Amino acid sequence: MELAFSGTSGILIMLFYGVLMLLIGVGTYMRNKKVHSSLEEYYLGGRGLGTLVLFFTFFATQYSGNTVIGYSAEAYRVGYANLVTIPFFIMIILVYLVFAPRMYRLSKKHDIVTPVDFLELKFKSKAVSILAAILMLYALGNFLLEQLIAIGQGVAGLTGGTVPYQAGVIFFIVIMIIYGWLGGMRSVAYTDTMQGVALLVGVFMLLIGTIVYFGGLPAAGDYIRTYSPENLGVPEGGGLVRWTNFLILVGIGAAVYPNAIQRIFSAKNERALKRSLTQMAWMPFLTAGVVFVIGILAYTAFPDLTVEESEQIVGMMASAIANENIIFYIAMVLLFGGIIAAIVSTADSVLLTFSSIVSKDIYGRYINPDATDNRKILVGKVIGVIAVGFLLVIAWNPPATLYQVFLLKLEILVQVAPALILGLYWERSHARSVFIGMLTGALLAAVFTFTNLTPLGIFSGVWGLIANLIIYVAGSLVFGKAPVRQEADMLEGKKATQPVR
Amino acid sequence: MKQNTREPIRNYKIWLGFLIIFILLNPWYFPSGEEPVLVFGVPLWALVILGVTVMLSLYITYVIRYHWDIEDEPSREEEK
Repeated sequence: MELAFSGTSGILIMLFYGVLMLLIGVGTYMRNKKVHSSLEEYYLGGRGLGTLVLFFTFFATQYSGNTVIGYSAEAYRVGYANLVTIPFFIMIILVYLVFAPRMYRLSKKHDIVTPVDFLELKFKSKAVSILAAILMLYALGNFLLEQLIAIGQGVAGLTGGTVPYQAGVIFFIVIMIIYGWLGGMRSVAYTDTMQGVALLVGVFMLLIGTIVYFGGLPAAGDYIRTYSPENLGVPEGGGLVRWTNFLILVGIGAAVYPNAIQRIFSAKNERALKRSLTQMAWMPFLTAGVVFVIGILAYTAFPDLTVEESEQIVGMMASAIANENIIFYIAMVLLFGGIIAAIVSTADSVLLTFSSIVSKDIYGRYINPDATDNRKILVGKVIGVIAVGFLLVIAWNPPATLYQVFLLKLEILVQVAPALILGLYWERSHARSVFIGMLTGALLAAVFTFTNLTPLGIFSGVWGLIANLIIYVAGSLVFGKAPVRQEADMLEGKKATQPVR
Repeated sequence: MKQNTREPIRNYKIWLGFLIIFILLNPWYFPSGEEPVLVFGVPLWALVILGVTVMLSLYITYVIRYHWDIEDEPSREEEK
């Protein structure tokens, strides 16, 4: 996108943020030299993240730069129906309430490092563990690819083409890999804190600038009524189905992102986890809410854009505001720096989790179980870097065919949710049924996505999830049996078991 | 184990509350096809949904605060 303030100041802010990330990442490493002594130290920050850092790392993992650019463009296009993005981010926390309390406790008790560890503990099935690991790695890889492309676009806009954007992407990725390599989760979480603050400051400045120069919601309401009155209406029919789908699929899917789950394991104690999740339950108003309002306010400034033009809406508004005076000029440079920082902060956590699954669940469990933790960490890191290199090649030379293979994420990832959540509570869960359900769900979701099938207006991922659940539940009811000990417990101490546990 | 450990999933009443909020969170109950009423430029239905969304956050805060307490060992003495 073309930005009025791009060029030298853009390069300076990029350098500034890049160096800041590096300093924070390296500083964190210097204070915790034993970080490579165990998987727990490296991938979970020694299970020692306190409330503030935990909150920001949840925050930065969940909100990427895409949230700002993509969601405001969508709010501009579909209007108030896109209000759903606010409750959707809160739904994620609601889904956490279903499994986080027990998952957290189990992770401490059994030294769980990755979500696959939990599945292994629960089902003791090679098939389930390997399939889940593959689905997670696949979704994480594509998620990472999306972030890399987004960094490229952000850098291209901010530097106004002064620096080839590939150079900008490499710059940030090298920094990200260095601090991730050195300090693991601790470095990632502390840089997340800086990146989260940068994004928040930038977005608020954009909101203020928009209101000052283009007018507030009443003015926008009048414009929308004139230009596209349908954008003020209540979603109905297909729109309503889409709304509900969004809350369910994305709420559950985003909650089971392995990088999000690993943050539950990293909490210092239950108190820190509870507090940071409470704060997260309110953040959507400040992030998705503000981004939504910006998209709506954009009507006043640019009332009649095509779909393609609307994709650039944040850049166009930032340019217009930056031209007004020097304070907003600086603020908009900060905004774009913050957007790039936010993308980096999402990418770093995805990469770390990717490496952890390789270290612990593939290499450490099946290839070389006798390896030292240090070696497992090294293998995870190296494979992670190779994966980034591969994804960069894809990002710069998108394959002409089968490109959809690289777009599947949530549809596939959500198929792991039944095993994770239901498996946590249902003793009767039958490993083979879980496996077949997960596999069928993933294949169905993929096929529906590739063929663009959405029967009844329901998303492909939800269809997969429905098939998955039916197989899981039916199979477990027929073949599964609750462990004898558990049955005895239930019979004897039904009253006692309720308050306990 | 303590008698007073609490876990949200074990209390079905909590989920009844969430179900009600979730149902209200989907804007099916507004008349469709009518000229939307604007309050300070914002459609009334959107304000209602926003209100329900605030309730969702409040309810989550309440559940985390009063219905989640299951750590049965003192937390580790870790750095930071």
